[in-house]
Amino acid sequence: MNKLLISLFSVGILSLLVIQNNIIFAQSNEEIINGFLQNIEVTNDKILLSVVDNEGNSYSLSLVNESKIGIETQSGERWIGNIKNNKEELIKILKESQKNLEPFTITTSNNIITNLVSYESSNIKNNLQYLGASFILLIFFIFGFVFIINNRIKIINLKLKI
Amino acid sequence: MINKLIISSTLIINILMLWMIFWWLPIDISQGPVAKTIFIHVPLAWCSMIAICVVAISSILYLFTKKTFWDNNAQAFAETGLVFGLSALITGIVWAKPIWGVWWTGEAKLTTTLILILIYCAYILFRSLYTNNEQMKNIAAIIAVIGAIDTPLIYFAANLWQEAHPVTVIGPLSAEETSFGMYYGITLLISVIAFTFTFLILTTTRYKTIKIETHINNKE
Repeated sequence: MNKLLISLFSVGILSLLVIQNNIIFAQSNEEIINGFLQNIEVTNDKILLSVVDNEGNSYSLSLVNESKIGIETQSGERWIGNIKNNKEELIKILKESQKNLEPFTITTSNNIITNLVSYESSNIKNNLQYLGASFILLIFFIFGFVFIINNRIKIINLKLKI
Repeated sequence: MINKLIISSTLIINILMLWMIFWWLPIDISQGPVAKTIFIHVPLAWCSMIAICVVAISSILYLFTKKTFWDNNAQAFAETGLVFGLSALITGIVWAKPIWGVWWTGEAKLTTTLILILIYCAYILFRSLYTNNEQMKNIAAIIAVIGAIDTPLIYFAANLWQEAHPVTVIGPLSAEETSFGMYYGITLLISVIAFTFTFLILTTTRYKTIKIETHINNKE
């Protein structure tokens, strides 16, 4: 029983270690930054953003025509588009977000923003694996216990035969 | 006959519970599929807390009466309680990661639950190390009684020290009115029944084996 208790803890911890936690995916040449906007500078063909991440690091990033944007407005609607669609509207939303210190998740490549979205603490579509892991662990524990009881019954039967 | 009926009923309730969790129940809009962990996490925690209470009561009765029945009963409930408590803790850890962003925080609810698991471990290890020693059985019983103090602490921890874990919203001692909708309320009720039945079947089976083991050990 003592060995079993130690084994249970070890296997439980090992099972947790192998669970993947890739909530946000990025290309190998991209970097993910979680932070808020510090400054917005508008030029003719792009918007320059100063971003401060959760650890206090500053980044100067460029929002270009190809950058994909998805921002939640104060009314709860999601604004999706790019600079080409409606530059004025985008600047207005960005300034509003800067004022409210709204957190963003930004993927960048060579200081050029590829994606800029309102920060999501968890991606609900991608957390099914955690529910699955819970059930697998539960089955492991319950059936492990059933196996132990069964083993004890076998030992009792052997003793009774002797 | 009655045994078969109980096992069949438990199996049916468990299948019904799984159907409700995976097919009938809509996905939670704020947490996503992982919110359904509540239907295994809460019943497991409920069973483990019931178990430690029964262990404590049986241990007290054993200390007063010295009847082997109470001692065996306490051991059976402690072992099943450990399995269910450990499962509750692990499912909680897995649930915490996508929602809180961390596997573990040192907050009161989690820490008191971990203490309960350690109490179970201490009790079982004590029992398995000294099978036929009367004095050691008494010490194990005292450990179980002390361990039961942890139960109200676990229950009220989220209300007393409001941290990441949600406050108690179910049961007669809940701090606020339940916010569960019909779907979640019914599914939770079914899952609690399913897990309680499973828990009782496992405990009864374990009790029977302990009873025979004690009998054999006494003869040896």
